[in-house]
Amino acid sequence: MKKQIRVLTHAGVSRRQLMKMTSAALVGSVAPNLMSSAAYASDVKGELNYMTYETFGRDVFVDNALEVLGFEIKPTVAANADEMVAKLRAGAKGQFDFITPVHTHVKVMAKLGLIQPVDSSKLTNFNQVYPEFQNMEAWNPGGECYGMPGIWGANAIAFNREMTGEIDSIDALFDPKFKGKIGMHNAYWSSLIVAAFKLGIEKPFAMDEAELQECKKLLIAQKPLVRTYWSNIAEVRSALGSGELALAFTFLSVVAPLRKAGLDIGWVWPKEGAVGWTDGFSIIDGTDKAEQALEYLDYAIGPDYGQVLAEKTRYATVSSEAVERLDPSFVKEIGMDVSQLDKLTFLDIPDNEVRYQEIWNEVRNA
Amino acid sequence: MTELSTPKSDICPDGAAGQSHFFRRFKAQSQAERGRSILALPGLLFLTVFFVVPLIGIIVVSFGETKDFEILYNFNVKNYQKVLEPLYFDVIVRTLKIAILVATVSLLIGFPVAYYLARKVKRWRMLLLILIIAPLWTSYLVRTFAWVQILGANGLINYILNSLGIVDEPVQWLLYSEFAVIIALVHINMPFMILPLYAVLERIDVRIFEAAYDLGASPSRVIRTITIPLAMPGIIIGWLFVFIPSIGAFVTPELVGGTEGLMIGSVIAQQFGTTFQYPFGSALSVTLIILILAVTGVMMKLMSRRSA
Amino acid sequence: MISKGEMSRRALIVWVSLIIIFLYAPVAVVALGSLNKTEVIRFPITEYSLSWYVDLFNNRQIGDSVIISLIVGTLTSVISTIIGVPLAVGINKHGSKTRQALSAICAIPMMTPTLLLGIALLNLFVALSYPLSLSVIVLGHVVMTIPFVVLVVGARYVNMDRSVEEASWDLGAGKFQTFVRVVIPSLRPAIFSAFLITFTLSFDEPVISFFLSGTETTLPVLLWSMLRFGISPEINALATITLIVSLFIAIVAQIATNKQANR
Repeated sequence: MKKQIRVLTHAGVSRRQLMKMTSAALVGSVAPNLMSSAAYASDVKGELNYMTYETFGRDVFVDNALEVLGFEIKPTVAANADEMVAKLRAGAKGQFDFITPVHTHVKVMAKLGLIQPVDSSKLTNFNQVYPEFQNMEAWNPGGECYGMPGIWGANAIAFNREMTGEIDSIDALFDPKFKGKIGMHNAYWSSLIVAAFKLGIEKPFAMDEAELQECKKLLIAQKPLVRTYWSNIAEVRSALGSGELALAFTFLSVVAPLRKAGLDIGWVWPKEGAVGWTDGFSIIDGTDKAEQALEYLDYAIGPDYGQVLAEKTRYATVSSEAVERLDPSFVKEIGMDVSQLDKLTFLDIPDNEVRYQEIWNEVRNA
Repeated sequence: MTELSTPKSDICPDGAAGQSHFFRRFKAQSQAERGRSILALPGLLFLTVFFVVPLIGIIVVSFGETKDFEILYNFNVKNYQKVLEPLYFDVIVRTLKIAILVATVSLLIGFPVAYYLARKVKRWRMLLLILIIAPLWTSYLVRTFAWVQILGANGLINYILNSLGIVDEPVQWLLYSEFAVIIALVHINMPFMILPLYAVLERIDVRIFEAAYDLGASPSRVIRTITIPLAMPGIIIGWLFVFIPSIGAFVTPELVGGTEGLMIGSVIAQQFGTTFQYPFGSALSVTLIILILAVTGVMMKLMSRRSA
Repeated sequence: MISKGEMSRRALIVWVSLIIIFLYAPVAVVALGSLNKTEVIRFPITEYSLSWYVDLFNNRQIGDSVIISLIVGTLTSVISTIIGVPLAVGINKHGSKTRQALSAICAIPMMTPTLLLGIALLNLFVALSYPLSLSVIVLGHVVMTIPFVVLVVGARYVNMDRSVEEASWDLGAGKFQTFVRVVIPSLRPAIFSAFLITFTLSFDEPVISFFLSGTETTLPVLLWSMLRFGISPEINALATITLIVSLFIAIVAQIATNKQANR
């Protein structure tokens, strides 16, 4: 004898409704899995699974690849190279074919067996890449080629000329005149290096304990002058734009949009030194799409891709032919001047990276 | 502890027909009591597979060591000793301080709102509830950037203060300071305080209030002696819903904290990059979990003492 | 002369309005910024343009990620609620020692940094040879959000008048029937709050989503990866549209509730 219960409650969920919801949820959670296990296995010919930064995964590049090469690029975006490595290492390696690492991580990934060597003799566009980028040590760990750089840049000082006047030295970042208007980068591989430049240390990425302590002292002394340690491009660009900062050690990409907004922004590689970096392309170890990946890599260091890259992202391409196609004033605006490359100190992961990180934490904590 | 055996009669929801009321009630009660464990079982099973197992993994790793990009499981407490070093200890203390501040401020600010929603509004409640949580559907990155625009030296607040003639120079400490970190964290977590509080406050039977007023209690007395104790579970939960995310926060503090406010979340995140300090990072996280549990334990003690 | 009660009522309304302004101030700034002609926002804004909205509309990357996030968010909140509500009720029927221990265990996922959760879960799925996909992200999000469901629902259940439950058993209803017909309805505000909180948490979660994703990208992951080169202003337009959509949802939900109440 089942009695129906009428109690003082709002309209309840009947058992049948509950059952419906449950089965719908179960189906719903299985379906996407079914869909994507077909997709991610990348066994459709001409499909490349690509781990990269958002920029290289933009529609324009995806469409471009489809149009010119017939490849369907499926980008998975990551926030930074550390995350990329962490994910690949934790086991997601089998999911990807192609990756855009920053050059510092190439040797790490090679060591961990996450990427495979590239036969650069097979690259048709190799020779039109600027010679400085053809055989970079970072991309050839242990003498073996593990990928090619695709874009490069220099991190240096951007300044609001109206507020600071002309600047040519790293001393400006330590100048009490600009107290409360200075921006430093919240990263040990930026700010510790800036300190190293100021102290005249020869190998900023191979500092020993004593040199690190020197840098730490300098940076802690600098702290009262610093408005903020910026964490990402959007932030520092916005801060320079709103006048929160008068000058900062930052990436070149902040300059163009600020100038477009009408600000007189200066950009200078201080005479003491500037930091160089490259992002490029590597092939994931164990992929069955190595040939297609190589084809894409070849294309990506070539003039067509380089031109699209420069125009759409305002970053400097390594392809000399691409640069020749561009408007000289545009080239100047973006700062693609390869003649000064030897002045750059390229990023590197120091052997005692843990100490670098700890020292930077101590600076931030002070 | 929990009973795992479930007699067949539990599955059949029928009240037994033709039995005496007393026997039926007894049977129903033991049915329900034995049924306690059933309700929780699927969930606990789920958590065991998808959380407890990974958690054990994390704990094991925390006793390991990194060498040459590999994790050695040589079982040592070096990482935990490192956690106690002045640098990390300092950061943890600061993090706790900020998180407690953020949670308490959120509670004070948010309680009236939850109260209003639960007790004073009937018609527009749904609208207000969604309005309160809706700002969180725009990414917190975007909103934190907006705070920079608002608090900056050339931002909205300074613009207003300047126009009204209250200040001649822009106020610098609004942004890139611990103050900014607290404001931003309060903003981001506020809805997580209001919603649980509302859910609990809504429960309180109106007749209790009526009885109290009948007996001559003043509104403030009622709030103090009736509302708050009855709302205590909601207060605790709301406080925890703000406290816990604030402890682990690092993106927002880095964006608006300037050179101040280094929090433990940043340090933990750093350990999982190319330094591969997974063991140390895990140890930091385990320490954090223990700290949070300790604080939670204190809160629960308060709750059981003061709740009705 | 207004009564004390009326005065406190007005004060309350003023306070609530201030909090709403506080909650929406950044969003309003973002909305304003979305209309700004240039990428860089300086107050006061001089040139207006809708170009970012046009760009947003044409941006497949962003569009796809929004849809994926919506799917993940909805699935997460549904599953998390379905698992979490019985869990909360089941736990809270126990004596205080067991209850606290179980509650603590259920709460630990929210105390664990998402970075660790993401990596640990990834390791788990790799060890199980289980392919990554949207459903795996959902699983990860469910683990992350169950504590919220359990705690909110538990807090309300603790306050619930058990005699109603007992009355229902007295009248011969079985435990499951009682649960569904009696307990759940009285927990409704808590369940609804838990659902909203869970959806919101999942919709804005970048880390676990990154580690557990196959080749799909959720919106927060996309946003985070934009940080490296600069967040495109289309995002401001997106945020504004999200705002408008949520206002719309709020109004629709309110109308639906009113209709149901009037029936």
